[in-house]
Amino acid sequence: MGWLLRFFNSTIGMKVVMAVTGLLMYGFVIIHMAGNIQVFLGEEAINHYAQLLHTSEEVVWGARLGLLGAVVAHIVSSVRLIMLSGKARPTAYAKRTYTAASFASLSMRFSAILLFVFIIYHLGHLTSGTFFGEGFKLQPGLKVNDVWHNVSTAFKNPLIVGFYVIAQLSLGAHLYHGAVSLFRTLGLAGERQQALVKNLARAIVGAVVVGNISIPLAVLLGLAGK
Amino acid sequence: MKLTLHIWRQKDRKDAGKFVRYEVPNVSEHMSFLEMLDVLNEDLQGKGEEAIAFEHDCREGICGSCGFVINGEPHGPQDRTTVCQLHMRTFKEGDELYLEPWRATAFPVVKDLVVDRSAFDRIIQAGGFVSVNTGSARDANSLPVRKEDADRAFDAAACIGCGACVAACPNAAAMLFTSAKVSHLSLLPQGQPERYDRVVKMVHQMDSEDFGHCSNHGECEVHCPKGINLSNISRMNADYIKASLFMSPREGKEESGA
Repeated sequence: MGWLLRFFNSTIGMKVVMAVTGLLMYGFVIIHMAGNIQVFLGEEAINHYAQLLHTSEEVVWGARLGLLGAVVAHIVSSVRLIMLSGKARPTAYAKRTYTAASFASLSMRFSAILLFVFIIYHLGHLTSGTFFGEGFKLQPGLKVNDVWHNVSTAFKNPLIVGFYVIAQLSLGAHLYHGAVSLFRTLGLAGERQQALVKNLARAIVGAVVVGNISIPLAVLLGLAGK
Repeated sequence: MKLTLHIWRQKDRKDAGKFVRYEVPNVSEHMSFLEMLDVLNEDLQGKGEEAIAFEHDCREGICGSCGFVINGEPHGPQDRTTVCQLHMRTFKEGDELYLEPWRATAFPVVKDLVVDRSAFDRIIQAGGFVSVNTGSARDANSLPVRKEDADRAFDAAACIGCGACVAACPNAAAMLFTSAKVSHLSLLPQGQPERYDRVVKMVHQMDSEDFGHCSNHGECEVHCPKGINLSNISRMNADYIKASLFMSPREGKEESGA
């Protein structure tokens, strides 16, 4: 098993962990957005979708634990790499000019921190209801959230909507650099694929961010929800 | 033109080092950057001061000896140019420039703007070669190579090992250098028998030299005087992943290395 340990202790191996777990979370984020924009189809559609997801608690918890594992591995790997990076350049340049690095690539660790805070808030807000305050409701007779009611109430608050929008913009930046980066890390982005990868990343990230932001904004503006 | 330079002065490896300010009058736009420093050094020596140490050899942009950071950019502001081929016409009257050595743990400062790049040599020694048994050389055209592969191998082989990629990288990674040295052999038939052993050994040596990791900013590529492409990193990663996870181990012993 020494070979496996050696791989995961190499810088490329740690990047592969970032890429594979990132890809898993990519899948989640896309499904999460696609499922939730059913808010625009009305109460019955979105609440039915919530029931569908909870058809089997075993499957729900399996998926949750899988995602939690991916998040933990992603964070552990990133912390290891950031420490190595600090060791590799302990003295900063007096002047620094970036030419190719983008806002997204340079802000990865900061968007990550913002996303971490947001995910904890979001889980407590709309999944468990802990941070929701008064009025968090389950669907009558079920152990499933009344998504229609909760979303309609929560996003009447402009401060909460503002935080969601900012978090989604940082998600967009994180996802964009993540997509471009993960293909190269996994050795899948040669000269031929580079433009394709960038355009694909733009399309997916654009769809996820616009889709996600549209929900709280539409509720706030009275275009969706009750 | 007249320039103000802030140059990193450091006596030896142990010295803390600091920036020293120099005014350089009468700089001709036809001078190369190194010639401008030569003039400054003559002046300093005339005054009995110690000359500024910087590395140089061919001054034709092909040997890979020279290089330092000018205002945060390795080899200065001009694309695909080593600092010896950077001419003063790139700058203008009154410019204020900060000159710093490559900053990386793997490249300790020897003196002023000179760093020790032996770490690169050790990466090459770990596997950046083709083992050739003795005998006469084979006929030039008896070994067909696809034109596109020959071109890519040649592009990768253009790496002069100057270290600008490490200097430019926010993580001080040597991925572009190592991947160029891996690629120029892995693309050619002569490099095939040792292809997968080579990539593992060179990557492990690279890691053990305290270089950082690649976070795909692309700073290395734009500051490379030879325009080495990022796709070399993708190619090296693919080979490293395949060699480490999917290929049968080498007979008799575990892979040595980092």
